[in-house]
Amino acid sequence: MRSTSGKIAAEGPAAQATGTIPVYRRLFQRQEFGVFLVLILISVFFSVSTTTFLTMPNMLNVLRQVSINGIIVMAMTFVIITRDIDLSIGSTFALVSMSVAILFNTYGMNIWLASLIGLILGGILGLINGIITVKGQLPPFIVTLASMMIYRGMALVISGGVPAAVRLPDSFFMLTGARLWGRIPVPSLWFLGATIVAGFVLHKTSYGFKVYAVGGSAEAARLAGINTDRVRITNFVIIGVISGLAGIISMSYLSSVTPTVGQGIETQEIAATVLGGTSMLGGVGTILGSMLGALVLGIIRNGLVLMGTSAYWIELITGVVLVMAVLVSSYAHREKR
Amino acid sequence: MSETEILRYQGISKRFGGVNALVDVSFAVNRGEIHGLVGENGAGKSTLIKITGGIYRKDSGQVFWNGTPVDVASPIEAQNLGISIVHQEIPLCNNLTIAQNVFMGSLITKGFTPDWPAMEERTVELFRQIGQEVNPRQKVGELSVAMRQLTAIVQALRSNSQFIIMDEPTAALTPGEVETLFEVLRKLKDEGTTIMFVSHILSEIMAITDRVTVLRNGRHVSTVNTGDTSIPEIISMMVGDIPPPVHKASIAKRDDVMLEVKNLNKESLGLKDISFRLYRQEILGVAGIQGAGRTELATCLFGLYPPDSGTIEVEGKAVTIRNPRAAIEAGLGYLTEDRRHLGIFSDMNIWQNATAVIVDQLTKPGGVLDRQEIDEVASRSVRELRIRTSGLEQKIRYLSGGNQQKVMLARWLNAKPKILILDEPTRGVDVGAKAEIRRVIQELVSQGISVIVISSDLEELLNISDRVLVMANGTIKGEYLAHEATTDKVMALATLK
Repeated sequence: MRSTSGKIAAEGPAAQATGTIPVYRRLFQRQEFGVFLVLILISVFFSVSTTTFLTMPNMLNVLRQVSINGIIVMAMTFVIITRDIDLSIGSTFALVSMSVAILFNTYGMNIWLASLIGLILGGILGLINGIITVKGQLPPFIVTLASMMIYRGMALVISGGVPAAVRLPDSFFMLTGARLWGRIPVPSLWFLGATIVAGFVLHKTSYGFKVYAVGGSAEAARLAGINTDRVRITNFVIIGVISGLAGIISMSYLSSVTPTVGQGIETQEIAATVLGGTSMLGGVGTILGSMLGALVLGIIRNGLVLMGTSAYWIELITGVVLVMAVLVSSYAHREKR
Repeated sequence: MSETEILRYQGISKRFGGVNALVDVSFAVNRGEIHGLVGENGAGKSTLIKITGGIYRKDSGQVFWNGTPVDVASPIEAQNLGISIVHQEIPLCNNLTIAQNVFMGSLITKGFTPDWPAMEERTVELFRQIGQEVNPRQKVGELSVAMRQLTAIVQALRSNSQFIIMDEPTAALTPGEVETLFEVLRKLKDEGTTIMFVSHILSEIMAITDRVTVLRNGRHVSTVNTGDTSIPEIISMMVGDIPPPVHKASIAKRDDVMLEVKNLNKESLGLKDISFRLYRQEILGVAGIQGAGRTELATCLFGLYPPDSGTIEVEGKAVTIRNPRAAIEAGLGYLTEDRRHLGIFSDMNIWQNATAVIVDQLTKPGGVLDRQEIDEVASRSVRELRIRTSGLEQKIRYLSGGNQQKVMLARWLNAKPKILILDEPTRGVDVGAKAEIRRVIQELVSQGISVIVISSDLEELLNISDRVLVMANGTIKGEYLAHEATTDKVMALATLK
């Protein structure tokens, strides 16, 4: 153990008081700095290379495009900080929105009640993931890979594989899918709201505290009397509910839902979260970082479309930019250490 | 430089931060001998082994290998020279066979494919060389600890090692297996291999070694012929000429039982039939060598690994402790010995680390952290324990070991336990922090808390405790009141096999 203490003591001077350091230095040291840098760089690039990128309508478009993924990224941040993963979010997304659509269309249920039931369903789907993973002591990757197939299958079964169009009442549409004053997309306000709530819970409550503790060292957290199982399961419930919420908002915006909606979004969510500085090794990550991560991915996509890039190339370039961005971000983060 | 010397250490020093792990160590190991290396925990044995094996770099001094100065920069270089270490935790791949493990580093190939039959045959030959018969196709995961160890030795033979370091090889072996190991070591010696044998168990040192080197506090005390010395003499070389400790008057209330443990058993941790009492305001030391079961006892009491059987009473009331949360509610606190893995949240800051146990009590409605109260609690901890930090927001991993330990101590003090178990509280901390931690322990008992201290620093343990339990092989071998205990007496009891 001597070596440990020695090493840490040697690093001591590297990290001095945060109170006496100039603002720009503190900005540098923040773990979000890397992804922030990437955001600025790609924004400048697209602003210069296209005439349409840096316009108000397009900015609002970007916000709308990232909002659905962005909402889920908030919950994914919690899950990844505790060293878990949830691959079933796309399927939960589809199963919840399909269920709400069926309750509304086929059974004529009040849309608000149907949505509430949808959110509860999302929570239950997350709870199942959480209990099997945590109590069964199984790798979350495998458990949620299986539930990804199961939940998707259920969405296909209950819909018979047929997409559903939904004609929502105005009051509901206004609050979930519309554009305020014909301009500001409501989903982006949900994204903003989710960011604020998630930031508050993760950074300001005892629950958030425990999330970091469990991710930092589950054994140490257990020794400190923290119920680590409960924290992890709660995270799965949260991401279940949030995926359901995102599904409902998406359904409202598109006025339709297909049983195959949300396929592959888990990779986007994980990419955005990691891009934002959350460590797959657990214990590290912030909501601000994840929000920036979601924006970066959205902007890359949007900018490439504006440049007239073919859809095939967009996928390829997004992957390349992602790996470069993570490199830059992790390099900036490492310097701080 | 004598012809018979295979390895000579000349003035080896090594510092870790503020701690001198090795200071000017010089001695030589002769070719073809079994050389014992002994010393208390923290004496510098592991550091010396790791420098020899290329895991650490020395700060100053020179290592001579067969008379030539060498600078062993990596484990691979050590292996190329012919130096192998058989570690306590044997790094073998459980999913592979014995032969595959033995030849892992350099497969015998036929064309482009590994020649398994040849390697299996060679493995059998190598095992015969040390008098053992094996099935080379058996998976290592199915082997006993003893067989894994022999596999590691054969691995070393395969790479033509002339010098094998055995680090605490008998810690996990049964007496019969120890005998087998000794036969193997004697065979190796007869064939000219040099062995460095590191052990806490002095009877084994006497039985197997030709010469023995004693380290104390990072310094070389003596290298003697085993035949010319005795266990008591080695013990006194290990612990030094210590002035009889000055005892502060014990304030333990010996008619007021705080904790009573009866017939506690936990098979998976090797704990057998443990019974003891802890009195109010008592400082109870737990002594023992590595592997005696001290930490196991602590983690078992604290509910990390709940006991199979036995009763635990706190202030006369039976309690069931199935997890750490329940232990905390019963009034226990446990400062872990493994601060790095089980203690600190390294990416979290001072206030988070100091309040982790009581965070739920420091909230406003809705689970919102009450930062004002948290800051008050954390600042008080920093002040009272004199934690050297740039502020409450500083990440704990930037603190020195001693200050990290003080934050861990603060975490438990803030939980206001009745019984505090301190596992190696002063390990790896500097002298100043050591004194500080001891002061805190005295203060705690004066406030009515009972303290259990586990420490491998025997001198310190006797100095600080009112009473000492001595553990060996997962059970309590005896106890001494501190004023009647001496390091010799305790060591004699602790090294009983």
